[in-house]
Amino acid sequence: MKEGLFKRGKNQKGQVTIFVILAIVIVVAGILIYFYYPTISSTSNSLEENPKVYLQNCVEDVFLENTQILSSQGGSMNPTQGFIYKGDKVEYLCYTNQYYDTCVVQKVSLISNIEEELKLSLKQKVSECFSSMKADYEKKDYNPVLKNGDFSVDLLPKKIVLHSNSTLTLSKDSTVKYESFDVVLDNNLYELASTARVIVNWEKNFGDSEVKLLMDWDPSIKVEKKLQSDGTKIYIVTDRNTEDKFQFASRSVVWPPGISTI
Amino acid sequence: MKKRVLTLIFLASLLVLTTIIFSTSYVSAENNVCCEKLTADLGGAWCQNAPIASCDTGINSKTGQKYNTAPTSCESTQFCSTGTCFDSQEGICEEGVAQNVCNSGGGVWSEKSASELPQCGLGCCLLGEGASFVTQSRCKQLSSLYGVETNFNSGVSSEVQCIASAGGDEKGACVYETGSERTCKLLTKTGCNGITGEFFEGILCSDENLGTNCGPSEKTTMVEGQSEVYFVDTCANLANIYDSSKIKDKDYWSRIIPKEESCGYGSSNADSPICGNCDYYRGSTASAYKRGETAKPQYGDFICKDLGCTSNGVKYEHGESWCGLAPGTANITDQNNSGSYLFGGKTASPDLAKTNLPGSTYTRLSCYNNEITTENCYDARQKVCVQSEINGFKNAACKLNTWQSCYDQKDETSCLDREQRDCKWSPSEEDKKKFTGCDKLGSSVVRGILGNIGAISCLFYYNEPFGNQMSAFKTHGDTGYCTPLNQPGFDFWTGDNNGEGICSLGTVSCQYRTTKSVATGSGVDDGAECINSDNSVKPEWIQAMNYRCMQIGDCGPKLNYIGQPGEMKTIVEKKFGGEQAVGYFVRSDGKEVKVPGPGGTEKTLKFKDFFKF
Repeated sequence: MKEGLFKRGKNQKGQVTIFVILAIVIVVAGILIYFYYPTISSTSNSLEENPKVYLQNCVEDVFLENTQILSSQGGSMNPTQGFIYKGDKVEYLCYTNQYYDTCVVQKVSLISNIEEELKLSLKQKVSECFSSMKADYEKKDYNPVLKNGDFSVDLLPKKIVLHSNSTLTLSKDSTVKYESFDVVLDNNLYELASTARVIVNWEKNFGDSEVKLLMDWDPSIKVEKKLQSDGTKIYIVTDRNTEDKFQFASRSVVWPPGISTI
Repeated sequence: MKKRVLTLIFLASLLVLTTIIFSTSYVSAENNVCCEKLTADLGGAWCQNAPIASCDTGINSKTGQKYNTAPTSCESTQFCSTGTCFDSQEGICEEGVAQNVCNSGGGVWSEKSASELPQCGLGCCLLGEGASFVTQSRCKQLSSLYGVETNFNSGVSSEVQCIASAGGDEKGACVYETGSERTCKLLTKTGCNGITGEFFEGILCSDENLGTNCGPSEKTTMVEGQSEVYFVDTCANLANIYDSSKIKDKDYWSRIIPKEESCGYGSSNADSPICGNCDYYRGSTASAYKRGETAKPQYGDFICKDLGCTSNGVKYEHGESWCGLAPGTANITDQNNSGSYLFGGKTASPDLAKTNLPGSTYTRLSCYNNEITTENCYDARQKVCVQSEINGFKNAACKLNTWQSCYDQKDETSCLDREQRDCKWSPSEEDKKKFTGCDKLGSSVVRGILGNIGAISCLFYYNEPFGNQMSAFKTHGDTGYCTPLNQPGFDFWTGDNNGEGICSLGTVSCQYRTTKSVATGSGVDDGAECINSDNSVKPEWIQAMNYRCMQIGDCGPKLNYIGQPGEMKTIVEKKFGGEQAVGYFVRSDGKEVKVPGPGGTEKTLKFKDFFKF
């Protein structure tokens, strides 16, 4: 009797253990699905049927990476004259090599310059993406006809748009023609560069800037001014909402230690 | 026996800074040329005055021509002369841009000012609900970017007038049918016409008289670009500013109430659980409620977040700034206090041994948007932090330290002219009180009456009692002398920028003559202020000279800002008639002083025991 009871007790314990293990498995699976579902779903669509989505996905990462590099280097992919700040060569937008003098503006049309720099930096990637897109569609038994056209990069409020004039005609059961392609990046570089232009104007006219006034003018923007030992100022303009940054250097009205003889 | 003199080398002295600055410019212009572009290894900057070897002589890829150089300053050249640059793509006019920089950037350059150029004429550009005071072409560009029709008014002549004209149409309830439902959106009249709805200006969608499916709710929200917390109705339209006391008020849910008539207007309402009338300029803005960080609102999930900061237990308002207590700097709390500082409410001169030390940098801290940022004023104390307070609101600024012309001032009035320079006059009124009788020491009779002890105390403030000493650092009459209020720093380790030169000009010589006779023994015939009858140098004299030296800048035996001593250097030596030193040296590193001991040895004393300032 005692033995039977013992056996039944043992079976019950085993069932409980199984239920506990099952519960843990379900919970863990739930957590995994919760955290990784978006990734899983996006990877399952790696070969998009829509070439516009394909191009967006293909270019987006490099577009973002180059925008970030350019933003941390004063609007240049390869700055010629820059100050090394925390590992980045930050380009001077206004510079003087003299003491006591106001700086000389080094770059006008900053936004157009950035657009041009971004375009150059993406040229190869855009070309590769169109080629790989064509190859992918060929693999999927389409008959793609690609006419390569030029593309432009436009800095707009709150976004950067890469607009390509290339055309793609896809034929399989039917024929579809895609006449232009846009890759859109959510980024506030337009606003940040506009603020940088105001700062450069102050640096050129007064040799310094009052960052608090800029932040009062536009509370969504944070401006930091980091003075370096040679009189260079590194400006970091940040969008408080998106945390997009743009940094550049300026050297204007430098006061040397003592009295300069240079 | 007659002996001739000795030289006691001390620290610092002065230069007439303005003179040097002007001569500097002259020398600079003489050696430099204007480079249209510097060489790539020098950074390739445009329009810099530099030695000719620094100029890029290659070809400008945009123009196909050689980069220019000219044996003059850039301001005088045509290629680097500044004017107005018009960026036709962006529609922006920038003044003060060099011709070549403008052209290479794709702009159109003109030597005329912006006000003389028709394409740079400003006017008011209406962009939806906003407005911008810009050029017509800029307005076209902005309108295209914002996707609105170009609305440019060249008749508006000021930015204020332009912004005041913005705001767009009044908003109101736009009622329309959707399927079987009568619903509503809060829109402008133009927006409402776009969806062929019926427009009710100034009325909220939750107004029950409209008979729509929208009504009051307990939900709130925040709007990008605005600082207030708003109620939202059941159709997710914005309603009035959140006011918990009005949640059941039918009138409050019927018509649009302006901010000025809403709860708590005029204050920040930070952390108020009942009112969402936040004000960014008073230190609050709408933010999502976060447990532990903000107070909990009575309704909804948004609250006016306090944008102030706390530092070292002190609360600062949003927008306040104050001077940091960086090591080795002085706490300047009143910039208009006759050249003196306020320490703990008492007027005092900065302590030379503790403030404006080598390596120290003034810092300015500011609280903005709930964040504290630290700004270094300038290396070598070329800028110092000054702080004032108006109605309890602190404001600090990094002010240029205009010390350069101090040494050239000959009277107290010009020395303390704060519009021109930041200097101090010694002796100050405070010093005079401390050393009563010093102001009479110009007279040798009085000096004789007071004797050596009295005279030595006054040595800290006068040259006059030193008799025939010589120094480039002149005392002007017997009234006193002018030195920087905040001693500047020099990059003395590089040998540039006159640091060593300025300090060495403070070298002081004191000539003396001793006598020896069988009848009277040893005596000092001349130079009693610096020499004892046993030929040793008076420590009090060394102290006095050292004090003066340290006032000049990073001169003399000072500890640096982290309390570290410098090299052990000779601060006093004795010579015969300008010949070799005779083995009498006093040396110091700022922490210790080594003075001559018996039998040619050295005695080591603690700096603070030897120098008693």
